[in-house]
Amino acid sequence: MIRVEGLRVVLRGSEILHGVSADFRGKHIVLGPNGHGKTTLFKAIAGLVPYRGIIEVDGRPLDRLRGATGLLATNLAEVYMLAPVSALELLFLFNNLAGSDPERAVKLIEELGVSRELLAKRKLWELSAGTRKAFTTAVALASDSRNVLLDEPFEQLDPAKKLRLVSELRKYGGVVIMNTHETWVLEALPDWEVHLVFDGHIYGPAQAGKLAKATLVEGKRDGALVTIETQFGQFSLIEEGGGRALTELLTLDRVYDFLSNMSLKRKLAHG
Amino acid sequence: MTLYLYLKLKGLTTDRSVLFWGIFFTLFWVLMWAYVFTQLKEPLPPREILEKIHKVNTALAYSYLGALAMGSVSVGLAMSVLTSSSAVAYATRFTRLTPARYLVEDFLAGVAAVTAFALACVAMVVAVNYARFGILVIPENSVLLVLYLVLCGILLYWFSRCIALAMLALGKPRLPLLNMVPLILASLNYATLWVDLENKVYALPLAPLLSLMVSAAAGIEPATGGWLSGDWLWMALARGEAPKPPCLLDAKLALLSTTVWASVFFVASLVLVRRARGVPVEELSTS
Repeated sequence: MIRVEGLRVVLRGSEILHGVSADFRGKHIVLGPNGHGKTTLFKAIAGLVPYRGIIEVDGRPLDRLRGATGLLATNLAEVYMLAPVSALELLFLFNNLAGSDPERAVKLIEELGVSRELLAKRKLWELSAGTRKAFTTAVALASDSRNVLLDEPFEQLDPAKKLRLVSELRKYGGVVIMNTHETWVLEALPDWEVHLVFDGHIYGPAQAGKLAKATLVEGKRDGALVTIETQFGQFSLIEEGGGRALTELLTLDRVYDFLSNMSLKRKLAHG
Repeated sequence: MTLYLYLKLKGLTTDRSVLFWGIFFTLFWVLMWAYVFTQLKEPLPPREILEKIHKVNTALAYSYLGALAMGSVSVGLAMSVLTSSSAVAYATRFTRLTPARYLVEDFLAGVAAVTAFALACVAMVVAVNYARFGILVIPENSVLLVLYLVLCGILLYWFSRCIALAMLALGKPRLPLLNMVPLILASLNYATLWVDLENKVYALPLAPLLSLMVSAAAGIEPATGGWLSGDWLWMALARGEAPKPPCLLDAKLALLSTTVWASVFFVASLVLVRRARGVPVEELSTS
């Protein structure tokens, strides 16, 4: 279980997360457009960026955690770069330090389309972004940690590998928090809880299955699954009624196109 | 040896850039030293004197060229601190690599890598000297020489760490040339072969130690610098006398200077680590 309360992160003078509070138990999707603070939220939970507020992992304050093996794994690539050696050696090193089985990680990586030989030849930062993501996601899942943070795990995977990963996520025993800007995951993982992140604020949770059928309407609506405040104004996700289906947008990056179009139409209508 | 220590050491000693600067670049200057800069004029002195001259000449070569090799590894060390900054923050919280274990093992790997490259330089100089002149030169006091090399390693380890953490604290992991500062420092010290800084030499972080290395390896008194300026060194050796440096280096002061500098870099590292942030892999892959 991961709890954040009043979480603020300031990077290079600008505040990225503005007092985020959420409880993550079970399986969660953190959905939001690119550049709105999803990855920063994960980095804060993994202890990679300075923060203010409270972060607890299984009831233990992040600040006081030392040598907590099996508590939290993540697919953020930077956490694996402990030494300037090949990606395969890093895999063995990480599993050695985390006390998990490296062969399980290798098997999952191969199922995601990355060969052991390639990992033995290249350093982690020499791999393509997609290969690197498949590598780190597999290592994180194979660690069997009680909590796993997956940052855009489907990025640059082909459909078959996406399905393989979805099946791995469904059967994972611990807490999984996955962030993405792709809306198809709502249909693929309908029983997961969804938090939406916009402009450094977090909204929700709402059930993925309901959001998969939800439509996007401008303004605040009573009984909405979620109402979100953005720089272009408010919008709500509602179960019934008009508007555009959330999954039609394919990626949440298009929410702003939708809202700015609505805003433009309204201005034109009012002359 | 733990897997972390082994892989860190392996990474530092097999990095292509470090191998280029630490071995090939150094070897080039070793060859230049032996085949271009070292000229023996006829008539040659008696064998015993000739061997002593070679002993001093090779000691100067591997001490000062060794500084360049060690500086190269230090550049690799600084880069490894940059690339592993986020990984260390994560691993010390969520794996068996506790902060204390990390500090000890990273220090051991860093010092071992620097010392290994310095010893490789010693071996290269001895081998090339033998190939060129047929004289096998064994250091006068090998134990003391290795001890000084390890001290160089410790000094350069904390210096590299300090540089890398400064880059992280400034938020500029790709700042041009800053990661090359250890190599620049080594080159500056190399200049003291020709320039005698006299008592000002103690203000330089590495130069006094290099002079002590020459002294231990060649069995002569240490100079504050200017080994190759004037003929005081070679003339005395040719006469079969012990060379008297124009300005004698105080070994105790030299060691004190090294200790003070290493402590300064150590403390600065501790201060800077609080201000440093991790570097995302995307930022490193384009650097």
